[in-house]
Amino acid sequence: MAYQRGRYEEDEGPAYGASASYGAVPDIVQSFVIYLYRHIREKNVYEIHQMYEGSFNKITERMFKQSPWPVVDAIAPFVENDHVFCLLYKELYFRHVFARLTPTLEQRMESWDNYCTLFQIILHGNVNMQLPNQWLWDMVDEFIYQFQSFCQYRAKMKARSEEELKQLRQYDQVWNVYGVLNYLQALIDKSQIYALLDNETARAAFTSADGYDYQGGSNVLKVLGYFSIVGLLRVHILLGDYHGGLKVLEPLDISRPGVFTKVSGCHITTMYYAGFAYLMIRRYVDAIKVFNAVLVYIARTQTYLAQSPQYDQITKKNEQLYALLVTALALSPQNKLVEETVSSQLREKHGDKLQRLQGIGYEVDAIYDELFSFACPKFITPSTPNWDEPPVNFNQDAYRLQLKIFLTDVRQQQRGQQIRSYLKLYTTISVAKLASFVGSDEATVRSHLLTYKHKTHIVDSVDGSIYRTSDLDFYIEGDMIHVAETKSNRRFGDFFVRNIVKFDDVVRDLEGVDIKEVLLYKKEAA
Amino acid sequence: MASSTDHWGKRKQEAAERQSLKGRVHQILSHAQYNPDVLPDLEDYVQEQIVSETYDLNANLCLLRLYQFNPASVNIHAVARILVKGLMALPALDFQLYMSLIPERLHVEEPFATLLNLDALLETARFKEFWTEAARNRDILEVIPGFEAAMQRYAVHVLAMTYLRVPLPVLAEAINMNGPLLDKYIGQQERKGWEQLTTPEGKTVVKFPSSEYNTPSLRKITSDNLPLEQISKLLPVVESTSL
Repeated sequence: MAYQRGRYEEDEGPAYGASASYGAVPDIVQSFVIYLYRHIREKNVYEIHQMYEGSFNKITERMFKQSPWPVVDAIAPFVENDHVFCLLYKELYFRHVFARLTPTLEQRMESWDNYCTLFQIILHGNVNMQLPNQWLWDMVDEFIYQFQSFCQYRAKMKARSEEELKQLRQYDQVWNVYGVLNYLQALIDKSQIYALLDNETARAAFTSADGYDYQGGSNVLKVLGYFSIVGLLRVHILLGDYHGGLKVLEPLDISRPGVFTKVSGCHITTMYYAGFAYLMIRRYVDAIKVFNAVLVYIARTQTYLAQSPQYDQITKKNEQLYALLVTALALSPQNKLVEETVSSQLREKHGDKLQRLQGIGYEVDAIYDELFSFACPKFITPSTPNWDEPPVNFNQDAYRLQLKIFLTDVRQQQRGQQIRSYLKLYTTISVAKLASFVGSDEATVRSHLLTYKHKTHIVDSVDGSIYRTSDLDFYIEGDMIHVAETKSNRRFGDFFVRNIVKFDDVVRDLEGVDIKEVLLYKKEAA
Repeated sequence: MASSTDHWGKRKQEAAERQSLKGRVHQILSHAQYNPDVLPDLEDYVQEQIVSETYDLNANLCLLRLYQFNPASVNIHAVARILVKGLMALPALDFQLYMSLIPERLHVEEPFATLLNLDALLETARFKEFWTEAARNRDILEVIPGFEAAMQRYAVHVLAMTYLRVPLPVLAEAINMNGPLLDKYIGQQERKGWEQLTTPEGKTVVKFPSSEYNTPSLRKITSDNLPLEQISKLLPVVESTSL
């Protein structure tokens, strides 16, 4: 049950007619749209960002906590009926409906149409705006959220009225999976973002400008294309396609900072989905590194993040990431990869589980099940149902499939875990003796030993590289097992590279500081 | 003479078609992954992979995704073939990647239930049971050329990572060979460094070539070498400093 509950409730709520608030537009909304429109025309990114992050939420808190913003037709006269501005406004309008209210089927459809129109215009190069990265990221994020939410909505067929089913069937192009994927792909292709990321100089310039265009051009297509990479990663994972997702993401190179690390929501999303994919393809070391990195980031920026309107979601993701980290650590006990801030939190939240997960049996299965179900993405069934059959709910199917595959794999690994705990105590031990310890025959123990090797050495079928995920090495000579625990040397090279890059960032930030202004500020403060 | 030229002409034409199918699939994967119209080409390409004993994970994933988007279009035979190819790709976990895209209701149907069982046996290195089950399901497996050899390759891969010296019966069981056939197989591997030895206790073992997996001391200590990808992170820094 916990799984089905979305960020927002999807059950029927009070119906909202499109004309409900048509009429008098409150002064504060009037000036909001007038100023936002002006700032967009003047490409004043800073002011746009202030209004987008600040004013919009403040006005929402004050006036539209439980009701929608004025419809677009009501505000259009204040912005010269500007087509693109109206599309942007509608994007905000529907996002607010999805966040605060219960969207009706009509609203879901209208929102889809709005995204299509907006993306079409952007893809045809007809915009000359400079929008804040945050907004562009939110656009991609919300586009996929609404797609996923629509899939869930459609899959709960029994909760749909006859009229709704009829409409869903009639308008099956709405939030169609091909459409969603092709828009993301088109944004990536048209923006030529892969070529840019492939060119070190262009990439460095793009990163240091945070994706903005200071030559008077527009950042919209380029940055949307960039964020669409993360969007496409996410959709692939929601479909259960882990290899495909990671392949899409590759050019972004999440091991180093980029524009994606400048927007918190994007940073966390990217790492969450990438880490989850690594977990599912048994690359536990990569998964642990990714989870550790993003949890360190969240811990360090806690105070800043707390001011974000999306803080609740970030907190939820933070908890999910800890659950995924425990899972990965249980399957590949390598605590040295986890930094102190994270491991102390981890002990506090899940200390008991790590211990219990080392065992075997139903109780252990239940813990893996619980962790997975709490922390996994909201998998979707992307296809339309068979309309000619009686309605059934299939909104849980995709999740159950992924859970089953994960638990099967985990179960296959449990004997290996058990054997590992014995091997840790020896430098040499005979197969027969080990068999008597685990209460099994020799042939079975040999299979367990092979399984352990196989499961801890992941082979990439495309390039043949082997990823090792175990901290324990052993080999067998005839009937004798030789154990060698790995002493990992500290990777100084890696450490220096990371800190050189970090230092360079600091220096660059410092160079950007106007010392006179700082002094003035200090004087004023004094 | 005439028939021979015809024959060659036909062969050439077939090869050209294969080439162009491969070319088209390449195009699909870079430009039209999310387009239902490419389904026939991808299905043909599954057959092509079987005939030519080649393999393309990305093309197969792309096809399974399109089936996922439109379950009415699922071709059960194509899916089954992809799955057998997935088993043959072991030790890579391609089979599991494929299963993640196939609806659970199919998992209990044949031939998928059988294939799932075979995969579980292989994943847990229960080779003896695997070969027994495989023999019972020749109709699914033997239509795919190279199946047996691929499974033996996988068994050897896992054994050679685990054993420096493997008792002969353990090897024989894992690759399902005996007697002269086994001797011949081992003989063929000698150039790869295999050696058949007798232990002081009189047991026969096969010694695999040492690798970092069966001889931990061989593993390179990587602490002092930096991979190129790490160094490349410094390039922007160096560049901006020199400006």
